[in-house]
Amino acid sequence: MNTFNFKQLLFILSIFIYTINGNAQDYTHSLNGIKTIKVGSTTGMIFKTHSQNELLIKDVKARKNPEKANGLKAIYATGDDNTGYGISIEKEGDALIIRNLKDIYSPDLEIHLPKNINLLIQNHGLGDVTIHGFSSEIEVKTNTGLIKITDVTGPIVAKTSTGDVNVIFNTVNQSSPISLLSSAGDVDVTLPKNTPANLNLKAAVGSVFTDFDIQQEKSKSSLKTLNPNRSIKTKINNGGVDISLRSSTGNIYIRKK
Amino acid sequence: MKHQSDEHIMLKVSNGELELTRILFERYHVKIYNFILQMARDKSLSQDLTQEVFYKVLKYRHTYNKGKFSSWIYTIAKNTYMDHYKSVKHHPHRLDDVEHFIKDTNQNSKIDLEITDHLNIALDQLHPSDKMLIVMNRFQDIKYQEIAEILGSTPGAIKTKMHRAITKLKTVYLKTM
Amino acid sequence: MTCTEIENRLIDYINQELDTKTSDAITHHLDTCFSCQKDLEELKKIYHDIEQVPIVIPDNSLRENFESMLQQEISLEKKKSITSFNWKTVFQIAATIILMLSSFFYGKLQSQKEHDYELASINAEKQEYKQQMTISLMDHNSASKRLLAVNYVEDIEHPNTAILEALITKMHYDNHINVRLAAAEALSRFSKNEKVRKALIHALERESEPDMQIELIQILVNIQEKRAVPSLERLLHDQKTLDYVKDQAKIGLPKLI
Repeated sequence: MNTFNFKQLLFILSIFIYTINGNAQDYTHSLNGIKTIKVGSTTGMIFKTHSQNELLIKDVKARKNPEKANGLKAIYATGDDNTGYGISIEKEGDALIIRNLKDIYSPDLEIHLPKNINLLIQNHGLGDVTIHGFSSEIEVKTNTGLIKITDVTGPIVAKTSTGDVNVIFNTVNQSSPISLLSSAGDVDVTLPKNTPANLNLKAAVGSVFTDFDIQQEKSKSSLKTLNPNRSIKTKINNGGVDISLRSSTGNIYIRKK
Repeated sequence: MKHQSDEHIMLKVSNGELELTRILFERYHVKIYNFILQMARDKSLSQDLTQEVFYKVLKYRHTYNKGKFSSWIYTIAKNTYMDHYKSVKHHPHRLDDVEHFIKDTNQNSKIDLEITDHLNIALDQLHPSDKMLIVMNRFQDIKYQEIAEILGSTPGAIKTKMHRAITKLKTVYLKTM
Repeated sequence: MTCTEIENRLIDYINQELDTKTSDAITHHLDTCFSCQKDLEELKKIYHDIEQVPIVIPDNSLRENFESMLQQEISLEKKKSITSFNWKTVFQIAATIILMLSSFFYGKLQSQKEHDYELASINAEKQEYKQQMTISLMDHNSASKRLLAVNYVEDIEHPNTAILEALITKMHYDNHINVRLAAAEALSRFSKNEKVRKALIHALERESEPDMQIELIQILVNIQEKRAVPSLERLLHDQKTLDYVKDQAKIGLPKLI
């Protein structure tokens, strides 16, 4: 009980003691008690890792209100600007919710986080999402934006409507499934060559390309070429975690590393 | 070992000392058998279900988490009986059926029915959940607090339900006398 | 106190669970109230009669059967320590542990207790056990964990109604389309079940996501569900339907009519 109160106290303190560094270039926020970061934005987003247990938003200077607005507060339709940079930050349980309140023409959001924090990202506008170096669980949804995820372990659940999904795995976490989906773009995945996995590949219109050894079921002597589901289920390295890759009109690429 | 608490023994069982289940069997099998027998009213079925209860104690020994052992085993017993009850799709004796039922028993000579049979007939006319409460509290001497744990409810709610169940039983029972 | 109030407390009165003041008041009331006296006598009679019910001793076969079951379990335990685990089992156990830990760490000790009773109550069958775990996992916060649950179902030979319903709910409402697609795919395995078929037809009627539309069309064509024809025709004639979805409907329709 005591420790719990102490933690609560720490957290409350941490809310107030966020620091804005000397040049007012970066904005930081403590991550005490936070396991998941949820981010919503219409602009592009870039996620990188650093070793501090804090959230750092890069170069917020460009986001400052115009000088004319001195003494005034910006108001937005989608939330309360409690940072002064057109970003709202709220805590909900063990999650920190970050909303970029500015429009699609404002600068991209570059966020630095510890590598083990879970990410839940939604892009409602046109921007791309780039993620590098995380060993946590990642969920991403975008409309038209490209999803580019590199040097990660998964689990990942990602979906884009018209963009491509590109993921390069460092190793593949075997604990829970990976699912990548693009409606009209390509899904392009690179795995270490010894990754054990059960692949479920579905390209409704496009093709599947790979340099992994995949055992093909030989089609019997008929000329039938269209498997009604056009789905391929196969194991690599004797099977392991479920990896599902889908595209409705694009191609699927699985590369060996 | 004979003098150790149920909880202590069960903990050892869940750590792999399966032989110790014998002690728990000796302590509980008559109670569990009578509990199920009161509910099911069928000796050979009750033997089977009691057997199943101890089978589950063994099989799911890893899910035991230091709580009161008697609550745990009664929970298993209750669920085992309920699963059976559901699987045979028993026609539930609801209070709506009582009148009809009473007429029938009136036609039989009610004189040679012993107390136990009388009680059983009355109990069987209650809703199964009311019947179970009475069997647990009055026949098995389980306290409200523990019944609440077994049924996943609160002692207060159990007490209220229990009062209602007893009142119903009283009405039905005295009518058949 | 009125007679009704007394009546409500008679059981506590007999059980001696009342404070002295209330108890005395009831004793006093009973001296003069004939109707309450009668109530009390009746209650006492019931309690007395219940005490007359003899304890029945089970016959010895119960002990013998228990003994042979115990021996079997002991020899099984010895064998178990030699054979190795397969991956799926490890995942299932891991998932169980995650569930238990998470409810524990959220401090819901009470619900943890209930959870254990729930576990204890599960039918003797392992399958049943797995189904329970799967259903709870389907509501996990993490999309990847929900996918894990959906993928488990594929290993269950005869899923019960509860699990099929949970899966149908996932197909209709999960907030990640990746999970909805996986749920639809898992359901297609149980297309012998009328409830499942109806759910799939219904899903196509209301679906607006193109990826789900494609998946559902393929499934319904595969299971030869002619009742889906009106939905397919509607999609073909609806201006809002995307071209590549229309293509799927065009390929599918002739196979159904």
